[in-house]
Amino acid sequence: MSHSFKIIALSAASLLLVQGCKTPATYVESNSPQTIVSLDKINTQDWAQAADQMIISLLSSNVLARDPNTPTIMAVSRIVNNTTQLVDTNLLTKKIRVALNQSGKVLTTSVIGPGGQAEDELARELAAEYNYPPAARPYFTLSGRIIEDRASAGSTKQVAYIFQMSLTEINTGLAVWEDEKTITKQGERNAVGW
Amino acid sequence: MKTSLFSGLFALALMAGCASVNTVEPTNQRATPSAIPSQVEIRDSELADWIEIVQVNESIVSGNLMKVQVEVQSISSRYRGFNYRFIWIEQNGMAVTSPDPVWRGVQLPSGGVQFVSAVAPNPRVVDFRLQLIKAGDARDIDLNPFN
Repeated sequence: MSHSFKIIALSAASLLLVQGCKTPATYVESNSPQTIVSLDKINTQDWAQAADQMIISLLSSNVLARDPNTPTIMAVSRIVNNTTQLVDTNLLTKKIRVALNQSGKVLTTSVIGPGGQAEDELARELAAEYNYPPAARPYFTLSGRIIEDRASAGSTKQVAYIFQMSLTEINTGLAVWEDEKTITKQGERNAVGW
Repeated sequence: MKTSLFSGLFALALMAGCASVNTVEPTNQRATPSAIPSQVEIRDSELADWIEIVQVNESIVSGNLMKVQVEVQSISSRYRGFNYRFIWIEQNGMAVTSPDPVWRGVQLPSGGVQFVSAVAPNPRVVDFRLQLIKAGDARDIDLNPFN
């Protein structure tokens, strides 16, 4: 009896000690240097940084002025995911869309999409039902690809995510803006903060 | 024998630690940047010890959006990193909160220069602030017990 009690007490004390040493969950600023850096996935700050660099590049290129109308209209095409992860590419495209929208330079159509699939099916169905005139025609399309490249040396792992994007002018079929941004992470294990 | 091996390794370590960037550029610079005066507020003297703000340039892109480029140089003797973000201010003094300001990281070799830049999120922006903090201070934890 006494022996069992000792074992239970010791186990409980060990558990408390282990739990006490663990860092309790807390809120951190999204995309800030307090966030986690993973070697096996695209982190939230990676999406933010890739989108941010693409936005700076696109707006600095002045190509949106090729459309005489401001704001120009853009449709989002396919973003091909060539990584080992199952990712929602909206994590990239939505950030770009929001920034372009707030810049006052671009409006994105949500009823025209690749393969006839609209982002907002209801809007398209209602437009047809109410016999509205055809949706505004986009002047540009945005497409892209995300690629993963892995390497290791001893116990050090490295992963690079390559974000490629193109803006195509529909009436010429020309990619009038293209850019590629790479985010590379290296280490032996995941870390908190960067 | 042992001493010479130790000396060689020490010299190699010293050389690796001191690798600095060498730069070649035209004697007569053709670029005519529109540099603007800036003021720096230092709260982290360690960061200020090895980072120098060389120049701040401003231009307009896409018709009416402010673009800012800040030239940052490392005067450290080793590879070091810092993180930065731009805060954008509208005419009425209010900071733009959407889209979220994005923190970005930079790694600089000794003597290296980085041009950090950003484009204002809307045409109403009239001012900016660049915030810099030193990188690192990351607490390593093993998130995946199967790693």
